[in-house]
Amino acid sequence: MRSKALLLGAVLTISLSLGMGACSSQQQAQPPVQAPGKTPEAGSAPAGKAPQTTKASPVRGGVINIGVRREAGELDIHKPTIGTTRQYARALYNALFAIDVKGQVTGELVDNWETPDSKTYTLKLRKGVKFHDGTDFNAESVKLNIERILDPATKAFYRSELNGVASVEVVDEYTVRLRLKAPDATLPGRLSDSAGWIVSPAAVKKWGDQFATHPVGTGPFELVEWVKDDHLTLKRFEGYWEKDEQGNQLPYLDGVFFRPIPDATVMLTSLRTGNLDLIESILPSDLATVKSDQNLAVVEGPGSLQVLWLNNEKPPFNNKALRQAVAWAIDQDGIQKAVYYGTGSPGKYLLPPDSWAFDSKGKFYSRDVAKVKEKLAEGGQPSGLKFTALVNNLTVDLQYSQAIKGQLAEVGIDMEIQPLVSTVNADRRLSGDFQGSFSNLTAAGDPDGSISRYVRTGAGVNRVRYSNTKVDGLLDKALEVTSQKERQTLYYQIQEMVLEDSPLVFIHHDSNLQTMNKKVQGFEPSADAFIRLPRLWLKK
Amino acid sequence: MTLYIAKRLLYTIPVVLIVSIMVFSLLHMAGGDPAAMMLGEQADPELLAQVRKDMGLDRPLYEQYWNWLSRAARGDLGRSIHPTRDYVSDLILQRLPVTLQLGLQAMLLSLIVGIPFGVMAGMKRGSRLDLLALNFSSLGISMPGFLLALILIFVFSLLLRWLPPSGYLPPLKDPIGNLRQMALPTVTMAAFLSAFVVRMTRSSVVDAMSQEFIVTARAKGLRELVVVRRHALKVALIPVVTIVGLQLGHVLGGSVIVEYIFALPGLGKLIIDAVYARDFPVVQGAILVMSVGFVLVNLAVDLIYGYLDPRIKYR
Repeated sequence: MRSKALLLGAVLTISLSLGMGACSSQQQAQPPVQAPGKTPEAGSAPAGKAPQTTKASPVRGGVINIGVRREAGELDIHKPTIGTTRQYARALYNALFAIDVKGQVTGELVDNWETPDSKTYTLKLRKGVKFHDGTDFNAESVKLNIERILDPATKAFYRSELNGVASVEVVDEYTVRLRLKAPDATLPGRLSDSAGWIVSPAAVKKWGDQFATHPVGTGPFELVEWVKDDHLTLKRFEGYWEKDEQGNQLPYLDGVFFRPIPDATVMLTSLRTGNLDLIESILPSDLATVKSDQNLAVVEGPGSLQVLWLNNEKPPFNNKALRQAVAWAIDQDGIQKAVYYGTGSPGKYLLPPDSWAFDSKGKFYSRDVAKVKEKLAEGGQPSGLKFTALVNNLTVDLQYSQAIKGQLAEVGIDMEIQPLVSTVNADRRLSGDFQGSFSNLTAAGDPDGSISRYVRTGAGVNRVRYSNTKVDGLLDKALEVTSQKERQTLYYQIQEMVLEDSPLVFIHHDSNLQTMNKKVQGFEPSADAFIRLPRLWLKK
Repeated sequence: MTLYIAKRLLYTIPVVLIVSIMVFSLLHMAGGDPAAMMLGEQADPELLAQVRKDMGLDRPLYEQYWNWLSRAARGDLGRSIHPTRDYVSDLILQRLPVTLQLGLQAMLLSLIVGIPFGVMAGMKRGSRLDLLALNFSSLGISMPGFLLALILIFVFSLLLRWLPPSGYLPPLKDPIGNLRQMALPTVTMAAFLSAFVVRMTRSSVVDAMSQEFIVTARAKGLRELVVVRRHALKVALIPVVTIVGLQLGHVLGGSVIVEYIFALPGLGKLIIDAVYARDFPVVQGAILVMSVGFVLVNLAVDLIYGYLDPRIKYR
């Protein structure tokens, strides 16, 4: 009798699996959405499904479940760690400054600041801010933080960011003066992240090495529990300094629960079943599924820039005309439609289109078969060109590289694709052992951060080995002047030169597609794509 | 007998050694810089060099391996290269229960479903039941684990909302929650394992049934059930014991996929995360533990043979 029951169970299992193949209730991919380019303002989710109703007033309370792709690396934000740790840092800590989606710098822990001369910054700090352990945030704590980062024993990740700082003075309880070795207009922007994070000096002293598991900052949430690779629980810091426009204290939420889920499909499913309330990203191909689900909303925020690096030191791309030929052959609009389902915006330059340093009237490349032929001839390869491009072994990367291969083939350029694990790809770029290599660039706070390190002669991530002393000169000047209007002019000039030389080819600015249950309110996209927690609230 | 056991234990050493050398070499040949993996390509080159030095990666390969081996022999598996510098042995001990629970549940389920199914199919050879069993096992073997996992999630989590799609609750804190979360991963793994069990049980029953001593028992007039239970089953179980031993290999390997998809914090996921991050100490430590475990289970399996089959003697 027992065996018969088991048999029945087995039969049921089989029929279910077979049935699955038959009744495919998966939605068919809908035609690509004609999104009106990238609009980073809040509530701009396409198809009119705005996630927040600006009229409703925030409700206090509740715990939000957030799905992320990767585990927190290290909660001591000064230490070397994986990039995604900054998501967790946004919950626990504040930085000195903040940057909005357009690249405008505002103060976070800094209330306002002055530059009496081009090498000095006087920072007036926000008053009444406390760390989670009850100690006060003041000029002394800023000084100690900077010293901690500069101390070689800390092995701080961002130490090189402060190389330009000559001295830090405490002027009075809430005023700090930074003297720099050379003029640097980008400092406030850079201190919205990296070396600008502020930790509690008292806690560092108390916990020493253990600080990573007992992180203390001024941020909206405190750590409750961290189970590696499983979850991270946070609760509201009742003494958080920030208030909303009505004077209510933030954050609205009682707590946050982070769960790392490596597989994108499972993460989306967890959102759909209600196990999660908000997930940090979805694949563009899942956009149709999400839009057809009444309970979900998508917010497009700035993501990263997909580029094709061309090795400027080796044939064939040591020849400018040939680089330009490739640039004229790529149809960025087509890629936006086919691979990204209309999200994001076509890649035109190192900066995103809504950056203040981006010249929208510049001369950009777009698909032009005649120009391709002209440039190929000019470069001495009228009958066509052949090269190998390395690609990261990831879904979307493989898709757009295949699309580009097709586009290039049509104009006589034969691009062979070599998929590699991303670390190996990165190694090859570092050693210069490549002709072409696809990768993505994350935006930095200040335009200089998005440009210098890739195109300045000898710069840290100048994989293309591009060198143009005129560009270097302009980049230096843009650091010295403090007026944004003057800097803008300089960046426009740099843009023109870089585009003319075409050391690398731009493909797509992708959007970070943050997806959430409609009960999540108050969500706004951020410049670094990490979720900002203080103003989130849950509709009952 | 004890001599046999001692010899087998001694053989463990070269096996485990060879495995660890292979893993070490493959991981280094795969390329990729753990420091850059961790900090990102765009990190300061000076810092990258510093971090690499801290991780001990600037030493020659043979020195790195020897350092690891000499410490491992003393039971010190080192520390993860990851910033939190967890002790590898701590990590393994934390994750092992999850994988063990998953593996044992899957093996148990596969035996509970597979053996009776296989026995009945073997007894009624050629019947519709038999055909069902054969098809069932073909399906189980050929269905890729990740596909089955996604199908199960789709049906049971999304459509029916019966079970959660991912995550892990410790059994001591929340036993019911734990069972609910382990249900789909267990079925995913058991599908593959039970396919083998059904096939092997079926063919060994068919085999055993036609053996001479069975014919003798029938000739003696014993009831069919007694024939089966007393005589055939013990013999038929020998290959099944083999399967269970071999299943362990599939359990260890399959746990990687299942744990990854269902986001279970087990040993398999630890290894795959560590491989991606080129976290050499963790990979080598975990694989060392797995290979020792595998060899010991095989030894246990061989000893059980001795019990089941009176013809087998060990020297």
